[in-house]
Amino acid sequence: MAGISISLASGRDGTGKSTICANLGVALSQMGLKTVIVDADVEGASMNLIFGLDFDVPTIHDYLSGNASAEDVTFDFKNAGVDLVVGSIRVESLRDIKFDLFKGFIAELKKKYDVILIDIPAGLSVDTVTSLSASDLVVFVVTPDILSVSSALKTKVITRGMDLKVIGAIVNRTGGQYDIPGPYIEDMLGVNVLGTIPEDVVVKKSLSTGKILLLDSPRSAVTKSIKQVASKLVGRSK
Amino acid sequence: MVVDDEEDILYLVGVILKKAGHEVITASSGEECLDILKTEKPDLILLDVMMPGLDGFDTCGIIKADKEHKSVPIAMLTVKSSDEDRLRSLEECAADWHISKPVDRKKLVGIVNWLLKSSPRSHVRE
Repeated sequence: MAGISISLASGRDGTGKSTICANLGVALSQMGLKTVIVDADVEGASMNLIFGLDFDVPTIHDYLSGNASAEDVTFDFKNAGVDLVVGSIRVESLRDIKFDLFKGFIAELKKKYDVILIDIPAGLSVDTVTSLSASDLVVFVVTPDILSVSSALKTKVITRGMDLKVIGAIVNRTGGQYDIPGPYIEDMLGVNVLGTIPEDVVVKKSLSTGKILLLDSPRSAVTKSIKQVASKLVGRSK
Repeated sequence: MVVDDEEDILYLVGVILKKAGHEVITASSGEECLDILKTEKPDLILLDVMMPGLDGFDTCGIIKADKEHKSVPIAMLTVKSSDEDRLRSLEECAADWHISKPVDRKKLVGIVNWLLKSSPRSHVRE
């Protein structure tokens, strides 16, 4: 049975989407699903940093410029139990890429994995829209403020003609004085909130040390919330 | 302030909010709303969209462009409830929130209290 591709999308930067994507991938893998995380943000690759990779590996840029196969750019990250496709941080890597190859790339991954988790570039660029078109399901990542929520709504409106299945939203960095309450975010976006992730210093710690939060702080409130989202995601994607 | 061209709505919403402890003034058109704003400064405006003359979107845009009243939270209260309508409220009109009719009493009071306490735009620095 072919795998399912799930995109994490947000209308704007700063929602913590990539960090959530990384940890959600690990959580899904811990649930027994063969999972690969794809960093589709070719202009702002971040999975390398989040996973603390300090070595050169073939990247999504190599595939999209026709210089590598899908197998070449997908590698085991044994410590986390999840496979990764990372992006290049070199500016020259952008030169020859053909992003319209992305859909075919995802189709190849679907033959091998149960879940393909795609970290979509923020905003509404052509690359973002192309990445979304390769997705079976979409989950918005928002922060509980009006700019983030309205940006996600804009993404939903602009991609309406693409027949995307938006299955929910994750509200990240909660716990502030001015948070928009979860039920109101649900009303505004017209989707269920799959989970809320609290603002927590363990996130900054994991980013600065390059250690995956789910593995480094297994008893944190953030880890617990991400695992709950993973469970709901598995339920919704069936 | 509650702004709606339908008397029944004005009455009903007025009763609900008064029972919740709020002082309510009403206007039955966008033009009347702008007129009242010359002498009153409400803490919150609930604004219908589909009104003859100046509709709610335009009225909101005018209020938000006015230095004296732009900080007053505005929630659109309307049957227009598509994603596009909600987006228009937030992005085009800079409304603070969008409430779709019909709305139950408890939810309406909850949203009003939330907006009065901490409107989502009150602390935004872009």
